[in-house]
Amino acid sequence: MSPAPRVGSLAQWAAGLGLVALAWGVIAVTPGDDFADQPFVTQARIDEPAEGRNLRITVLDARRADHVSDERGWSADGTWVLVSFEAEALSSEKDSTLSRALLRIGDRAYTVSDRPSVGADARTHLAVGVPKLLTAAFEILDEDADAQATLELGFAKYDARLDSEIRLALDLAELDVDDTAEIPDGRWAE
Amino acid sequence: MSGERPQGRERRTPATWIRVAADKVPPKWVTVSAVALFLAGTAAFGGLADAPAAAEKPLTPLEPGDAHDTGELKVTLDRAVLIDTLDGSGTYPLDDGSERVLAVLATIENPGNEALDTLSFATDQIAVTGMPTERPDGRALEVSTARLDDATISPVIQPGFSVEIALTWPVPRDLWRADDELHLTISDLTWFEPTFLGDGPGFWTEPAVPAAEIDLVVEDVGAGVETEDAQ
Amino acid sequence: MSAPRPSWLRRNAAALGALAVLLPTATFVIGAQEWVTAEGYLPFAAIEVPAGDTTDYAGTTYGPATVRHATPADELDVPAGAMGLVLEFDIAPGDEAQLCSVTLREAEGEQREWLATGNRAPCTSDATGPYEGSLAFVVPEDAGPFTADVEVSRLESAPTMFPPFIRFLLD
Repeated sequence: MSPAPRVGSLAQWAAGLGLVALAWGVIAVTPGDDFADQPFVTQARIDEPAEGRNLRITVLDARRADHVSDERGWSADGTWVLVSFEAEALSSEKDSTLSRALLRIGDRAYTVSDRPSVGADARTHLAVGVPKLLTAAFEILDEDADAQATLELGFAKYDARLDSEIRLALDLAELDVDDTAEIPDGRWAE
Repeated sequence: MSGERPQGRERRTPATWIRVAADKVPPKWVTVSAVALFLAGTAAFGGLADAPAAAEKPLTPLEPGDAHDTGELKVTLDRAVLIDTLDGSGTYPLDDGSERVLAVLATIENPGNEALDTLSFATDQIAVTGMPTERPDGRALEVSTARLDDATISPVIQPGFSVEIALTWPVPRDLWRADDELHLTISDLTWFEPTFLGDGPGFWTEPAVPAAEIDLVVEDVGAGVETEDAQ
Repeated sequence: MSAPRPSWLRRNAAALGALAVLLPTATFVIGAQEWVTAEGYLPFAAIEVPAGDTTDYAGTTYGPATVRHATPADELDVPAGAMGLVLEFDIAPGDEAQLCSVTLREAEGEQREWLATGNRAPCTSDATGPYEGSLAFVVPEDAGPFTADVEVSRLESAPTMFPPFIRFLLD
């Protein structure tokens, strides 16, 4: 058997370093362990439609209020954040309930308050092609009133991993603060 | 004699003795005796079978107003009240008068980072000794929860909040009377940390292990005051 | 000196050939297995019913089905840019108790689909004689033409794989 051709030692070094560089590159682009747990996020901005799977949301307004009421006589004091938005499904009305509506502040994940009357709850069934005007009301701790927050909206109530999510960054310190605000019932958008 | 063999043999160190001895032992003997030694060793910690269920923890006795930390939340039970009806509580006693409402007033604090469901807490972690499982009409007897301030049914407690609620059951009319002692047991859920990548963070889940108990003296407010539900 | 060895490709041709067959086959089989597990019981094959016709589904006769625009008498809340539709179809129950769920689907294009307002289930298992099912839908003005896809649940049988569903073609 003829011996294998000799590779110059310089070439060997170059090959070795090249492989190391390649390995470093692979590690650099490999997502972290929690990447597999992330939903498919679409970042939204006020007044701009944001689309996800079967979902289009346009956030219109965000404000704070010290006292809120609804159309049926319920009211409460507190530190409240109200976000109004238009939402529609795009292709199917099956499983198109907006179950995921969270306001994340630091480690805390606040859910849409269940205290206002039923008609005012933003976690409602979305129609295909016919947008609804909804208001999500969050009751938060006083200490979070001026924090950075992230609004998360989507269909997946418990397991967000395999579905889309619309996210909006909010600086609560920059929002208007109303003494009192009304949470309107969900209705068709104009 | 130390067995000096002719030249060519290595010096007899312990290591070489072991090697020579090992060479002479049939392999089957090695495995059998290793297994036997291992099993003998497991006797020291009780064998390979699962350990028997942990001995029942003694229940922490509570007084009305004492807070109990379940790990997931803190609950304080204050009063037990019998009343004919309690609008806004979620409990609707039968019209025929065979039932009344048993209400336990409690404060629940959510020190965690996620919203807390009071109905699943009341269903899975609060047990009243002697509570029937069925109502006179055959339906299951279930607990309801409601906020005291605005009567929100099955309220969800946001992270960091502390809320006063009423747990209510539709109970047979004469099962409890004023001044009876109502015995409740509070159970704690178990923290489960998934070990597989991609199964997400840990969470509180079954089993609910009894952890604390309390006796509340039952008050009977009869038909109740007109404004009771607007409290 | 021995003869030069055949190239690596020649030496491994059989193995490479096997891979070329096995890899796609394994992918297909595993994928198909997952798909069947997830969707095997969902409605699969359409029984197409032309406009005005009826069809028999395990003893119950469905149809004919018509769709019309909603009138003020229907009291449907319809915003600008959308239209209200009312789907009506006859049901003549047979011996077997059946329930149904109805989806209004676009026949072409994106095939968007709508569910009836008010979560109503038009079919009942209690009826003794023929009756009419009626459902209202709110859809965008530009939607259509439609089919009404009726998924029938046979209450007295175990679920089968790849069940058929009724597709009413509507004009």
